[in-house]
Amino acid sequence: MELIQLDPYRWEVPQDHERGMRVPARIYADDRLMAAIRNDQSLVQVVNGATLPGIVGASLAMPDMHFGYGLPIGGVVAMDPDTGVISPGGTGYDINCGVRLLRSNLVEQDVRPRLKTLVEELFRRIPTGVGSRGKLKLSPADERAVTLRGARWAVQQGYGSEADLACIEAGGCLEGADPDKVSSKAFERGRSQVGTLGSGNHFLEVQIVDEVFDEHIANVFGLFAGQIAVLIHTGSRGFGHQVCTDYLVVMERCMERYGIQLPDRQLACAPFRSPEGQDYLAAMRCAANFAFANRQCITAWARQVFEQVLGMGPRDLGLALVYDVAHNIVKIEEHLVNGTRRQLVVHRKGATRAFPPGHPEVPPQYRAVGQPTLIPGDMGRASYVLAGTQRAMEETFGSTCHGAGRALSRHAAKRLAKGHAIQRELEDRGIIVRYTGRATLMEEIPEAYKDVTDVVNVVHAAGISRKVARLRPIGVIKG
Amino acid sequence: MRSAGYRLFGTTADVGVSAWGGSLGEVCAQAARGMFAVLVDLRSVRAREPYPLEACGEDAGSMLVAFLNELLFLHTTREIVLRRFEVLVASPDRRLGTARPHSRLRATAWGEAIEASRHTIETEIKAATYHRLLVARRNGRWRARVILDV
Repeated sequence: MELIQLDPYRWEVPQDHERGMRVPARIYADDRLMAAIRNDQSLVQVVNGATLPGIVGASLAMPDMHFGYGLPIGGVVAMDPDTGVISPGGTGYDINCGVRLLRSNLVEQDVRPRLKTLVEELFRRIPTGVGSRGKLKLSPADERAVTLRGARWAVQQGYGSEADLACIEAGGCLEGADPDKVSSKAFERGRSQVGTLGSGNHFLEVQIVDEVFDEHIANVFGLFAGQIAVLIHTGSRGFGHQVCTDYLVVMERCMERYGIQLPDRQLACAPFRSPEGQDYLAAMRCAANFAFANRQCITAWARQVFEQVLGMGPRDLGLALVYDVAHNIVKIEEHLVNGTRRQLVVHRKGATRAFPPGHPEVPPQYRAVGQPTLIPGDMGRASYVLAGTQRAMEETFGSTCHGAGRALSRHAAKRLAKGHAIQRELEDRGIIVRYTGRATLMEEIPEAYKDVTDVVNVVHAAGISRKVARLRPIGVIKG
Repeated sequence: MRSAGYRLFGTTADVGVSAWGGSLGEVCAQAARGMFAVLVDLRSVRAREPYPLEACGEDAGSMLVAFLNELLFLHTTREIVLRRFEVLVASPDRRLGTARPHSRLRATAWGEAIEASRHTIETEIKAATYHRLLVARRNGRWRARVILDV
């Protein structure tokens, strides 16, 4: 495969008709990250993305890219709605997996003396782990309401406030969700999982703003050096997994009828305007809303725990939502393509929306500086807050990276972790960790991930987002 | 190599199962065992209760994926773990709507309710995927490869 380096941070696989590519593939990486990327099959997956009918511009991959299903993790593809397709494999199983950041009025010394109790209480109150079941007992009618109203449902139930909704991508609720397009299996799988963190790489972290890179933007986001913050990373749980599973089957059955041929079955898709495509879109939106509600409920419990453990009122704590952003989702967005405004079907799979200053979908209080973009790292190192840029809008359909990206397989991580007292080693570094599954903890050791700093430095240098602040964890709860 | 069995292998983000057996039914059963071996220590699971299920697909590969996803659904919603599987693949029969060969199976899985004191669920599997999916027959033996998104 021909891979051309365009500049220190941009690479291109030119359009190759023999491979069925309809557009080129473009990858954001520096030399070091590219060396790692070449080791797995993810380059082939970006190229496969370029074969999807109706793709516009280029098949894109962010520097945290690694092997995924269908598209690589870190992939972005945008389709023309009239000639293009929609693909469940272009979104992923964990629909609206995403991140939200809460800021506070606290600094480290307010929390450090009570940190252990705080982390233990967070762990007790927020269900974590494999198959974790929530405290919410939802009726089938409640669960339908969750899928229609998303975070708005949670706020109506008393979990948070209207102010929270204003700081969530799409206001915490995607319009056009239709629960009738979701299988009873998905509802059954999700029923006890609203308000659960789950397992794997999902977490809730108590963090400190470690370094501010852009004082002005940080100020607009309400962030300052030394500040305590809370980062929550989870998605739509079993509900979303089942929606993706169900629609992969639907797509596989109809592709032949629509005359779509693809190099990878996992990319199974249907024309956007087809009944199957529209049904998936409506079901995917239900799962996205499920995830927004999930993160909203967890937020409310985290606030309660802070209030109780620190003996402070909500006003003194100031645990306000900075932003909540999805990194596995399909959105209908307006973009400028060769000087023409067009509606596009943007698939982000392990990529984060990063809209620029002035964009109408950026909340008014942030509009002058761009959308807050949250990039979680591993539990031992750091996470980042970035801001969206005009360059992202022009080059990547307003998208940037989503995290560190795995460097080691789960097997390899476990082998490396064997014999290590991970929890104690982290505690020696001032990071309190509570977890449900030891296997998960071993798979999630910091060494299993690329350094998120390397990834963020590429998107910053390439100009598709701006570094605003780095946060480091001091308390972690995991599945 | 035993006449039927499975092996687990790692990919960057996930886990794969390769399975082999003398018939398509047997290879599906072994793949299911492999998947549950990712979830739980199979030695801790007793084959107490039978759980009947069916699955179908466009071909042998998508039938296997549908079978594994159906088992995952039972595992998460019934809160059970499974260790023994008997799988019968229906022969093509136009009247039963199974015109395509190797596209429909009927199975019984045996296992028990999850008990926290005896079963440690190691991982959450989101789904069995189509990625690098392989179901093939060579020299009268069946082989399968499925990658699990964990």
